[in-house]
Amino acid sequence: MALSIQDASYSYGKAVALKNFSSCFEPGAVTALLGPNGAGKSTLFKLISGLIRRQSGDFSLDGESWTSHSPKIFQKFGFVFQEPALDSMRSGLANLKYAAGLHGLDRPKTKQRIEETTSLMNCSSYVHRDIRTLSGGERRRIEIARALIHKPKWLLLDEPSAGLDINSRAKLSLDLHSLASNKGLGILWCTHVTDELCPQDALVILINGENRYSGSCGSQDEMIRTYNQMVDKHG
Amino acid sequence: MDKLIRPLVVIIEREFARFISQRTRLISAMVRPLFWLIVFAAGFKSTLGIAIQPPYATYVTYDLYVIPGLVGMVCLFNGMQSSLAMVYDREAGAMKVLMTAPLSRRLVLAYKLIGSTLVSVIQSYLFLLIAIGFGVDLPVLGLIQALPAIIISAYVLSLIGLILASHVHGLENFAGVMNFVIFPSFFLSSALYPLWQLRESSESIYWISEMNPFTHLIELIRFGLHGEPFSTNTLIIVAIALFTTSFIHLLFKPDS
Repeated sequence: MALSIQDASYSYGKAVALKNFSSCFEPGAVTALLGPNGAGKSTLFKLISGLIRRQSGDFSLDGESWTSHSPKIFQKFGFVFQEPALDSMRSGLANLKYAAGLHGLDRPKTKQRIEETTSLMNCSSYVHRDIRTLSGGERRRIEIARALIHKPKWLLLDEPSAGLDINSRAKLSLDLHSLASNKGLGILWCTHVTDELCPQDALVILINGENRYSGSCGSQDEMIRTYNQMVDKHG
Repeated sequence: MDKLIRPLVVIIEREFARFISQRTRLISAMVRPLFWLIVFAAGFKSTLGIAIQPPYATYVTYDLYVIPGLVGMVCLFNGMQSSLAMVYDREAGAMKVLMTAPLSRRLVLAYKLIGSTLVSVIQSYLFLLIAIGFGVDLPVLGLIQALPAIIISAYVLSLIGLILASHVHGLENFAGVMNFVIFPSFFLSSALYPLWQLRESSESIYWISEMNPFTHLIELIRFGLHGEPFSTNTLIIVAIALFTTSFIHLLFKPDS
């Protein structure tokens, strides 16, 4: 179930955020959407998630195009936003139940999926706690568990490790990569740091709203080198 | 069917969970109208009786007269607070979960309205029961007959709140809007005094109050409480509310 974006452009007034961006993301693998701050990663993420209205471009999933907000297509996506998007007045469990309900899961299915996703994201031990009492890393894991609650085909992450310490980032990266390889989930990972990626990850480098590189690098060093070259050349 | 019903259930659950968990909101929702009833109406009760006017068949005491206005106040405040919660959700990011759910935006907003309406209706009846406890002589059958009017009023006021929430960016701005909406709506209406009495003092204020939608909602509740649950006004208000609901998603931009 490939995710394809063709000629997507977006401007905030006169400021161009995305310029004729085209790319095709393959399922069952991690694709890193890499770029410095202000490159247009979050704009692309918001366009896919329908949080901003599309100005131009064609978005399709497995050949099926969708408009800004398509309930049928959105069933196949799980989103993790850059800014925390949990209801801080409730527990992790309540947040998960809420998301499951929004996706139309009945109570037995909800219970089952909560057990599965919290186990996958290693957050079962604190899911009952109030969101306010959780650390940044714990909140992130609950957010990812929430995004997986309805068994999406694609998981879209907008800088999920922002604000996490090195250990938490490494663990999160490990868990996310095993999700892609073990569960066949397509992951589109917006980030500006390379150390949380794996050498086999597909790489799309976005600079000043344009797609400057698509491919994969054999090693972490090669990935860093390619990224730095692109930033130096186009940044 | 679950795809349509379960989202409604969890959205309503969340509305109630928020209402119950915010104790100050729960308490203030009751204390505010009771304060008006016990202090304000008590003062006027001894000095002011309301002359015979529809729907009353006889002279009524001021505390009985003011009850529909206070029920309207309960719905008005809850409608605004529910919208305030929506502004908060948008700022805190929780709104994104709703906006990326596999549901049409029209449905999401309609569900939010239903949730908010139910909270208002329960608050209204809680207030009415407390008012009876304080000795207000409300007709028992009227409590049942007023239900459609209270539901319609709660829905319309939640809808107005939602429209405001769609245009307000930031919690601090919403507080200002609440002051500019709640107080004029309440005071420039038939909540506290019959409009014909207002007309004797000021023709212009009378007309402003006459055109205030809140006046018509209060009168709907008043007539409902006194045995006339439906009128032509009811149909007009319902038609306008449903028409507005079908377009509300156009006002509510996800990126705003």
